Amino acid sequence: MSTWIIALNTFGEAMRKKILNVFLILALGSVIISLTFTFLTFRQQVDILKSFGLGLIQFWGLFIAIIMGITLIPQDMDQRTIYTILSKPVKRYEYIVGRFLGAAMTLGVNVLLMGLAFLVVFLIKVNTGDDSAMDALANYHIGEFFSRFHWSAEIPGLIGGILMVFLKLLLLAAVAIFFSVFISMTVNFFLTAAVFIVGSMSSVTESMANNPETSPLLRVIYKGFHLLVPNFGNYDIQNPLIHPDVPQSDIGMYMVKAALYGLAYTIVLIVLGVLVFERREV
Amino acid sequence: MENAIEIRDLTKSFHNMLTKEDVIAVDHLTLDVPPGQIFGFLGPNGAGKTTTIKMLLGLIFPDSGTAHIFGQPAGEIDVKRKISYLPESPYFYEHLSGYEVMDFYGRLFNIPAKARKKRVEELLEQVGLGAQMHKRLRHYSKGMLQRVGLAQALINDPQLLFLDEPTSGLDPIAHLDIRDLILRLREEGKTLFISSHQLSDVEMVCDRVSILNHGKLLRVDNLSALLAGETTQVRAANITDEVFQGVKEIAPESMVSDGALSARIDPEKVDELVDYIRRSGGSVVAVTPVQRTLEDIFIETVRGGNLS
Repeated sequence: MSTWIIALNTFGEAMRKKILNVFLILALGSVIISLTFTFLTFRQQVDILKSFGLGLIQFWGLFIAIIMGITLIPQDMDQRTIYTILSKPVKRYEYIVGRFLGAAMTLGVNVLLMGLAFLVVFLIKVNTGDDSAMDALANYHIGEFFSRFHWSAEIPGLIGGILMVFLKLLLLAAVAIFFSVFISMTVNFFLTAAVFIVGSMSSVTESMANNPETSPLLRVIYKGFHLLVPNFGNYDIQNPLIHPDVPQSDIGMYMVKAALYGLAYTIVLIVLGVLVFERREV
Repeated sequence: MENAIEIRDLTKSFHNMLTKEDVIAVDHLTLDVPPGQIFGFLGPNGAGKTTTIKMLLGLIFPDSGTAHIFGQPAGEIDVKRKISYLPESPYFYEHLSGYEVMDFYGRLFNIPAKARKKRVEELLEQVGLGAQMHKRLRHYSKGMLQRVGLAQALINDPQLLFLDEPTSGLDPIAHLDIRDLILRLREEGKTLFISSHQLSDVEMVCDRVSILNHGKLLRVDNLSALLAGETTQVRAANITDEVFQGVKEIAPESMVSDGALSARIDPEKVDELVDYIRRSGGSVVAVTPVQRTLEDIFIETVRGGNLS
């Protein structure tokens, strides 16, 4: 019960923070700006829009995930708010899980809003041109707008891509929250960023670990990195989505596996964070 | 009757990373607080008061020793339902209003919505924030935040309250209001454990007082017993620096300014001091019996470091 109360409070706190609203507005603005790339061919414009849109959701989402992850718990300790919470009948795990769930809700709502804006802009784009739905709308022919409007077959893939970005951000927030239980905000910022960069290059660390020309010691180190650092590269499925003509077998199954991997990793990180926090003096 | 607080041999040290040494914050503290009392927990800065309170709340963990609250180990969830805490200079979530922050704390105690609304409004009225309860906390003054702090400490109708500097930073009116509220809580049968530097407040409201220094308990007694007995104030003129040195040996609690002496001394030493001043060329202006204050006891205990 306390977990849910703390989660809702965290969410309310985040949504009232101006900085996060600024990120959201910047992201929405950036997606709309991408509509102006009219110097490219139509297909190029659509491809750029997809790439740009998913990239922007991830870019601004990263800021939100890292800022929330590194500040939520240390801020409560620095400002001593935690005293009035943990002196109430709140278990330490409820506090950590509540803080994490609040961050997850905030990320979810932000990604959802950015994702919706992106999909709307995308649909406007694919319905633009001569004799298109947007053309009809510009001439106030509402009836024709609906008859000419068509849903793109790429929409489900794009929704999947947005979902993957959300899971990646959730995992990143879990990394930041785990570190925040025992290290300072500044160190955590760089550490989480480093984990994200190394984790995003998981294919590189894996190939280095399996390369027979690499020295045995380095292979062990690369292998260690590959196994220990969460594999953020799993969620980069933009390429097959941006270019749906490129064959990609079982994308659905791949996404389910990536989602399960992310959730399992997130749960492990939060459980480890709870175990450390149980003995942490505040 | 079961004690509200029972501390046995409680010890806590912190590791200083710079000097690589362990600093003992609380040193084998043993203390009982009976229920229904207002207990003053005094000591200079760094004496170990807040560390002790944090151990009693389960925020930090002792190296050794035990602490029980109403017979249960301190820090347990069941115990936390019966107690509350007002930290020194409390800080709350600024994005919330006074009402919302109280509602948040009320939810943590699972108080049903209707009862919670009533309780929150009553408490905010009680601490004088009725008109400002829907303002965001970022617009509250320090005194208003202190009032919210006290209100949140009452949300669960606790049996035992830990108040760390409850009147610090308050204007005289707010000061008086909080003192009245503390007395009202005693009438309701609550136990209050107050850590404060405002010795006049402590003297006015507390039943029992302990004095801590360097983590050690130096003195604990009923306030009336501590203040029993009179002291004498001796005032004299024409006191040179040289004479003052001699005065200090007889009356350590003395001070001189422009040759005017003011000394506090036990009644049985008055003759010795007066004789010395006269022999040394000074003139005794007044010898007045005065009631000892808690400040006298505090200074005497901390400076003397005597254990009793």
